Amino acid sequence: MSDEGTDVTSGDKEAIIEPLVRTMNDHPAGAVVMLELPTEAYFDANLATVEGLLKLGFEGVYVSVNRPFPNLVELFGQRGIDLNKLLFIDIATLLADTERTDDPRCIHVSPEIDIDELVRAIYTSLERLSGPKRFVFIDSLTTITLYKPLSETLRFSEFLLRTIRKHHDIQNISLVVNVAADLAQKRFIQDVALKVDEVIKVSL
Amino acid sequence: MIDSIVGTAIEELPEGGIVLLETGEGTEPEVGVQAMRQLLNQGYSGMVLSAGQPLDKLIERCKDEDFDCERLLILDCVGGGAKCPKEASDQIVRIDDITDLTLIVVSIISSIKKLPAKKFLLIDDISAMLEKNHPLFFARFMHIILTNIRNYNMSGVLVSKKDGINKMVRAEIAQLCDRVIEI
Repeated sequence: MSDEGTDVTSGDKEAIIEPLVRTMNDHPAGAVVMLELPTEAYFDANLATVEGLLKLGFEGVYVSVNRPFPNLVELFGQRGIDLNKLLFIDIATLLADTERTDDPRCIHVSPEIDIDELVRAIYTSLERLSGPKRFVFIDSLTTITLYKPLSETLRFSEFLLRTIRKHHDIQNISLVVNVAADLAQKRFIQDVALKVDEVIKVSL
Repeated sequence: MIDSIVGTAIEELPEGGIVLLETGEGTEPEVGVQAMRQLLNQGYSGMVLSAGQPLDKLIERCKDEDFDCERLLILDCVGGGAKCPKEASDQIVRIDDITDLTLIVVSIISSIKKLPAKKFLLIDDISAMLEKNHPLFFARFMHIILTNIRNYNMSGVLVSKKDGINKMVRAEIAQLCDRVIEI
């Protein structure tokens, strides 16, 4: 038996956090980063990414496409990640049309998931965070394309990228977009990769 | 061999966790049965979305293994249940069309609510379902199902052929799981 989904070890976490720290330091006004993560350890690698950002003193908005908010809260809690520095936009629940959770840390958007509304929701959420360094984290861009046309997903990433870049100097906001390595060759991901400051390929 | 590998995989699966078991060609039914056995042994109740083998064969295996069928609901997408015993009929929901993913979603969600705590969903052949469905629709279906079972803190076991499966769909599904185990 080969277990491809073993827990991400502390050494593996370093493989994610170390290049992320370097990139953030290289872009003190805020960076736009794409992380290519091993498909078989995707969620653990996602957690390590957020943990790394929090350790760097960031607060952030977690846009969750892969998992519903209650599941994230439970797993973050199990790993001792400070939820007070995070707000969540739970897209997974909306896409799957399942029951919503009422929680002040979870921001809802309308079920149609209009791209403009989503970007507005991200920005409104950022305003609720008071720290000097903030981030927007998208756990999986490719999963959005299961529901939205490619053109809309591209428009979302470009709109978000543009908006974040516009506010770099005054607000110090970073954007981290995670992609499963096995899906990184998709053409639209390659298009997005051309527009970010850094693509970090993580192999564990 | 398979039973001990699957046994360990399920034993290590935390309640509410989702595991993708990737197997060699032809071993999917056996992996599915062994996963079912381990889940029932661990006190789970649950449902099997059966796409890998005819219903009568599955029932026969359940009898051979002396499963407590009271704790099992089978959503049968394959058919072939002529020999299905009457006493098992309450535990079987027939899905006539494997491409009717909406009906499958509705059936699963309505059944989740009826199951007692500590529940599981086993999909016994992802690759067989994917062969009959459009890749995009199937990937979306899996996202809907897995998001729903997470919301109900239900454990998930997905069995799939390792090779010959659409790589993009496999990646979309794998990234939603907690573990991927090759058998």
